[in-house]
Amino acid sequence: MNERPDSDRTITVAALARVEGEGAMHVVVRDGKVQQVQLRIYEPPRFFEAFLRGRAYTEPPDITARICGICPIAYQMSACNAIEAACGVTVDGPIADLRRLLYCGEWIESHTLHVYLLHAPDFLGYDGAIELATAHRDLVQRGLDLKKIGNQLVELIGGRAINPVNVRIGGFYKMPTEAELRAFAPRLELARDLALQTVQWVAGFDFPDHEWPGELAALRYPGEYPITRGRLVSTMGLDIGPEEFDQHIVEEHVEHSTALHARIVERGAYLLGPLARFALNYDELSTVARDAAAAAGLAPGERNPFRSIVVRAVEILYACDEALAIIDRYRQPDRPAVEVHPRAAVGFGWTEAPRGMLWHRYKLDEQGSILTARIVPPTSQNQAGIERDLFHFVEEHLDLDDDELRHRAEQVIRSYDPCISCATHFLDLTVDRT
Amino acid sequence: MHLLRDALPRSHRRPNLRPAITLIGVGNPWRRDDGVGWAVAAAANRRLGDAVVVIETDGEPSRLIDAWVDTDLAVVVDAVCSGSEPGTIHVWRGEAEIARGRRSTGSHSLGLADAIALGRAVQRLPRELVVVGIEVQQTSRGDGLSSVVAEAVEHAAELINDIVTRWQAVDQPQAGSNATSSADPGSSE
Repeated sequence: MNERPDSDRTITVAALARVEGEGAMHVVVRDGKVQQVQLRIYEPPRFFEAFLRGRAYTEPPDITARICGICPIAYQMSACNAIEAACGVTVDGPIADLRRLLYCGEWIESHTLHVYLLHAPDFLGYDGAIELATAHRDLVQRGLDLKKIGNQLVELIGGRAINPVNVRIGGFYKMPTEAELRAFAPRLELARDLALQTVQWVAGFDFPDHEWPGELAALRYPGEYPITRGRLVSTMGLDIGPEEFDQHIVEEHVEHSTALHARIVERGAYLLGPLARFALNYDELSTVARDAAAAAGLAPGERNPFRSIVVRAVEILYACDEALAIIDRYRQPDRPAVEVHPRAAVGFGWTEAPRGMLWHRYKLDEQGSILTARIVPPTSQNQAGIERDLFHFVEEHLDLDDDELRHRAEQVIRSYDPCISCATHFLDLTVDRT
Repeated sequence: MHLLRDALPRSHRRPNLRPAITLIGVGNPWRRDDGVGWAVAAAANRRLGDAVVVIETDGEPSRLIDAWVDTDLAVVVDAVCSGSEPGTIHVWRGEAEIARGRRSTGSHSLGLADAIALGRAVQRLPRELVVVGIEVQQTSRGDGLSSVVAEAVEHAAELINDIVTRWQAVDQPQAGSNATSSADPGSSE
């Protein structure tokens, strides 16, 4: 029993810093025991699903790209996979390769933003990216240069850096020439060097001892580190296709959040994202990325969420390496897209967004009008897991005063890179130990 | 349509020339009035044509820095929520004035003021920076501007046209900054 006079307390963070979107955390401690940990999300997340009803089957890539400025490609690719599945079409060859190349650009820019501007300040004792940049200009310049190459890759393939316009059901509106892609390769070679330096840099941080004890889930596809396709597998034996999502994963409403909490049936909270992908797909990394991970002290059994910054850096390195490999084998196809004709059907699709698996489901009528749409982003799937992890973290650190506990708890949340903009929009941390 | 027919981008940078003027629309058209920055940038582009490079962005700081680095004049247009009447057009010039005067409606934790501070720390700021802010009425999910904000779009575009034209006439960044200081009769500071 904690005998401190403040063994009952409430700690609140009204506006979490350095996360994508806005949210709050509320922790209640009674008699020295953690009673409740809530990640609070207020705004209904389902606007886009309602907005998609009645729209044409060709529209979800453009509409859903607007859900998130950080990961529009993930929305476009999951939407394409689901609609194409509904219409009985499989896209492969150079078009599939180009989708993966575009997605590599998004991984590079999204992960680099998180590593340099949102997460690294936690380990180096700075309040944020501006303070870090003031003290270590060269480091942040390196991050901005690396991210810019990711942005440029998205712009090259996607048509523009945000809300890309070159993606359509069946493929693209316009395919780049081999010469255009090869001309970009030197920038990716520079990015690969910067990414390797990033892995070496973040591997040297001090990490608190902490482990996520639960289930990790990620896509897996033979011969590929998972980005655009695969089955969902987990560290506890899950192995399902996208059409089985509903039978194995349930979403529940909780009072303190308008984002639904997801859990695996009969087991509970699970976590998606870099740590999960790495744990379940270590053998599919390129040699360069696997060697860098090993040199950084990472092994497939890594479960410390704070070390996810190292995994993200390894995934940036992988994305650069993979992008170069795709460019090297690319041959411009005769057509930029395959024909996709609508039919009355239900289609399911998922891909690995930077923060984890993003699932889409569409029901179409015979003319291709969307009857229903469901989108389950990774952050809303991770929300219950983040709360569970926070609960254990706060339990282990009740000796800290409120300010320090609040600060460390925010760091736990940031290590998961929650994209609250995706899960919903506005998130605010309270610790209650009266 | 242009983007569909010619989806692969040309370089924003003219070879061997410093890009003189960049007009940066910040916002999210799917948050109603938060889309006003893009709308004004498009309207100003119709007036200014090739004289400016127009970039649409969500305001994420590293993208803003990429958009304005190496430019002589960057005009950033964004939605603002300061308590003024919806549709009010604000103009701020220079880092200090922008840091004092502007509150972004942006939903992400890092905004324009952070982008300027970060840009200064990494020495990647434009030579001259002007921010045009349009006071918003509603930023709930959905598309389409509220009528009072929509009415301000052409006024703001005309104001930007004046700012750029005067800057071009002087053709010298430092002097241009002074010359534009009275270019906004309809604005509030």
